[in-house]
Amino acid sequence: MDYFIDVNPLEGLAEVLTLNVAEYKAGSRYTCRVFSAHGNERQTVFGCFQGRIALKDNQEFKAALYDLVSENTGKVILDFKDVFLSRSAVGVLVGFAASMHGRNKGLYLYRPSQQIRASLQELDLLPFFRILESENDVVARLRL
Amino acid sequence: MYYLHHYFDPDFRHTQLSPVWEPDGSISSRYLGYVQNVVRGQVLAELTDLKFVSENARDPRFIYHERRLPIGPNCAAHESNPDKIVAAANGYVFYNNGLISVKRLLNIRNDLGFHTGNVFFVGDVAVHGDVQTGFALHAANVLVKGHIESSKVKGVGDVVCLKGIRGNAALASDEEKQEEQQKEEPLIPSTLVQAGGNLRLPFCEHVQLRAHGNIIIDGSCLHSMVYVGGNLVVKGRLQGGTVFANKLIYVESRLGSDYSVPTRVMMGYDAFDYLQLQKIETRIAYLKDRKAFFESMGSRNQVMEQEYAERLKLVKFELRALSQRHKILWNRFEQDGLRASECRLVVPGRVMPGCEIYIGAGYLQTHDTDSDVTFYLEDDEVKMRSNKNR
Repeated sequence: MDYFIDVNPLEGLAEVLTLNVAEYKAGSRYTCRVFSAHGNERQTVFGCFQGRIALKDNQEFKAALYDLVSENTGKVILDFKDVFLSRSAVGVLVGFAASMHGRNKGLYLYRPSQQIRASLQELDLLPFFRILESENDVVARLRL
Repeated sequence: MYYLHHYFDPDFRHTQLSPVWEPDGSISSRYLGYVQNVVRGQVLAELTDLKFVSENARDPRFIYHERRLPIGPNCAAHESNPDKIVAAANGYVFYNNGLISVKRLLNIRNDLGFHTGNVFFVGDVAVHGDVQTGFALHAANVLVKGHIESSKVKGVGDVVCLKGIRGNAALASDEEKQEEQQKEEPLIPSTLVQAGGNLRLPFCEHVQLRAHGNIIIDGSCLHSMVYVGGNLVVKGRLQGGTVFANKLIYVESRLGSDYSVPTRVMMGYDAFDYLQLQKIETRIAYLKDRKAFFESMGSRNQVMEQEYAERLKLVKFELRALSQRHKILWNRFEQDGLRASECRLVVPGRVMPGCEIYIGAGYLQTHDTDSDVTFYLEDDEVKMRSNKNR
């Protein structure tokens, strides 16, 4: 189901993104909504996660991450501002980062929650990830 | 009876890698999944009662008659659930003598190339061969015992290369863009070696070096772009290319060349602000180009106007944002300029004619051959003094 989000233009970013899939799986403790950006070159995909991701969600989380990547995907931006990641989920994220790096695709974290920042900091992993703090940073990653 | 359920692939062998299928059906030759990364605290395996595991899912190797966890080095039992094994360090997980082990140092015994694919590792990496052209490595600390060819090597900490780095002289993808760029600015090499800490190498040519700490080059640095947050020491020649630094540069043998190859040294401002500025200016130029294209397409008819309206809006949005960032960076440059008087370029060897030296707002171009001199900023002018009588 593809449709444009009709939102207040002042929200800036949302008006230029297309919502591809709206996933609210029953029983999941988290949700993943996927947006892809307009572009005539390689696509930028925006994965918007919410909720708590623990060990038992790992397989589902991994599948959701890998589903973001398709043939034309150039960059993936993960919105983690309302997400709690367990250590095992961080491990899945690192595996995904390795896969993206291996395929020469960009991976960015958009405004990760304090819990994720603290977790990455404690594990000395923060420098491995590129973090976007504002919508301007996100727009700068879109291929036009 | 118990069953050990794994959260990693227990049969993974780095010597038996196969190319990975892409979602579009193609095969990626650059990514082979050379290493299974794990992070501290990640659950690696869990012991469960055998009756909860369906018969189809059972692997006889992992059926245990007693409650026993195969805990190896850098692994531990979970604090609250003693049936789980967790990693006690960042690294890669593997079975060693029947025990689940995590190793922090990844040794790549050969070249990093088609045998390994690109490598992303959360611990330290030692490459015993070369890093081959077109491949990428990202790790905590990096040691390359061979050469680094035209590739990308990033270390969160220190990077050391024992045989040198030689990049590719051809750079941007678009040939026309290259020609245009050549008229004004020297090209930025596509080969990148980046260190969050210090960087040490014997020589480099046609490469982009970035280090937030110090860079020590035991031989020569030729035609390279160097961004250094700390000090730069070149024991051989610094010839061609541009160096961005904000503290001390020491060139032992020779600065500049006999053949009028432009050699630039830019000091007095944060090297990584320069880098940001370069990126922003490149992006602004690209966006202006796109804007003109979208406007020309949109002006054809109403359908085309609708087609390109959203992209045009986006381009304008980003241009506005980038202009603001550009302005903020320039303001920061002005503040940084106050510290420019502390910068020094020391050359005990020879300084050749044609070197361009910028320190803060000052500029000096060398016209004669000199030796054993120091360049510094005084009264907003770059001055050169001899060290011979000191």
